[in-house]
Amino acid sequence: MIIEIEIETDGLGFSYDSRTPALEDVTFEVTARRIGIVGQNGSGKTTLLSIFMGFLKPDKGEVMINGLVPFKERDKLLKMFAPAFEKGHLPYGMKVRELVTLIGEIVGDEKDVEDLAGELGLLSFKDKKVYELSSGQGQLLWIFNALADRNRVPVLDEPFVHLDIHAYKRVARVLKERFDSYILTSHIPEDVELLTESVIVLEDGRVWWHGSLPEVESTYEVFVPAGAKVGLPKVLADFGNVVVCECPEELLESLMRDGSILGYKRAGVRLLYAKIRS
Amino acid sequence: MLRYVVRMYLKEIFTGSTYWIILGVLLWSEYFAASQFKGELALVEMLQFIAIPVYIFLVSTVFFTEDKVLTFELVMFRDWSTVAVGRLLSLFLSLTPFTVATVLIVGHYHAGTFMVPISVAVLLYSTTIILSTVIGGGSKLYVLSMGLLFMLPFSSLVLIQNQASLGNPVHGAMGYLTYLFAPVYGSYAVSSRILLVDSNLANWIVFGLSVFLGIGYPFIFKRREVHPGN
Repeated sequence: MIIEIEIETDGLGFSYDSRTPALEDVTFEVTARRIGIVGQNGSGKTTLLSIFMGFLKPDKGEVMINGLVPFKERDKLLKMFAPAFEKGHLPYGMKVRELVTLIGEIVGDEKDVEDLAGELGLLSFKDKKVYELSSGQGQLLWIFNALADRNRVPVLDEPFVHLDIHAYKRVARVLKERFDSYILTSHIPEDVELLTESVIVLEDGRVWWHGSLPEVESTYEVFVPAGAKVGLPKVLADFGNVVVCECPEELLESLMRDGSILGYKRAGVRLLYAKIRS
Repeated sequence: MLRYVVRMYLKEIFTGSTYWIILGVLLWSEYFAASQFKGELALVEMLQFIAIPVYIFLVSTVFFTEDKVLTFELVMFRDWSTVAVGRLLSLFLSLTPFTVATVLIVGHYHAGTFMVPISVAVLLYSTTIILSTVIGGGSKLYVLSMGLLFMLPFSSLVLIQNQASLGNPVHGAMGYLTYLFAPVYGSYAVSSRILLVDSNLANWIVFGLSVFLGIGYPFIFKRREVHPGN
């Protein structure tokens, strides 16, 4: 299903305890098909998604998604969007295959839903009871629930956190192949860089930046071996194994050839993080 | 969509062996209390303080889900009202085996004196518990439901008995309130003249309040905030 997701917020504020703001004066407008929300732990990503999906009522400000006011029109919103939040233990005694069948019946296309379960790797543990699933398997089930209906836009909160590399690949592939529109949050820059086209950067409950990722010439994220000291010019930020620097590509090529660095890529979200830190 | 919601919840309630074991133990205990003891007090206490609260607690825990899990169900069934009505309907349907069996046991041994109080008590406790789930799941809900199901009826018993021992039967508004907390024991207390209320009116009040809570639940559920981050 191809739809443009239109999000409009104006002065949005929310607090869980009426003292510490979880979101403060969040104002932006985004129209895109694949939207990424990125931010460090505790930056307000889940809270923002919860408000977008009508689960929480903002204390202040306004929000509208595709013409709907989320908290007031939460039923309409659930028919258009399918959110999955970061893994919570599902307590159901039914088996995974029974849940897959149930969701297939609800969606009205059992074959397609069963195929999706296969593509995501759910069928390898279909005879396990839901409450017995590991955290990664449980996470897959949450994602499956959000992706089961092609007619709804998936909204995934930190979908890759508990997944191994193989499950990560399967989910990313299914997301790209089956859906033209989705919203994704992550604290991992690569997730949003690879899968989304429009990015919102949250920091301490505020929107720090939003738009398409800038392609800044000669600014790179350089991947260095653990513990290695690499002499890079104009280092903008050091994230441990990833260093953001302004340097010529030729230098990076030569460092890679002699094994001093593992690789490099044009700076994206980490450059924004670097600017936040500075 | 409602049938899928009800089917899922009923399956969750009825498929576990724990449910059938506890149901069996409770019904056996009721039968034992009704057939082996003289008078009605043993059966009344068994019903009011053990069988009814334990059973309602047993079937309600399916709905004691954390907010995050509730979002899973809302996304799956894609409709707030349907999930609320489905939860309520599933709870009522899950009460049927216990209520029918209990009413039959009690009717057989005590000529139906307690059939109405048992029915309204089950209705009141179940609607109260389902309504309390809107505060969210987890330990706070377990503590609250323990208080509602076990401690309130017991406080009613203590109040009625203490006052009776002082020669002051409980009456008036306080009498109806104590009846509300423990309708089965209240009914027994009325017949023993230690609680001076009109039991018909008291049963109607309990029934009316249950209907009010039951109707109110979907409305409150639809307007409640859900915290997926919790």
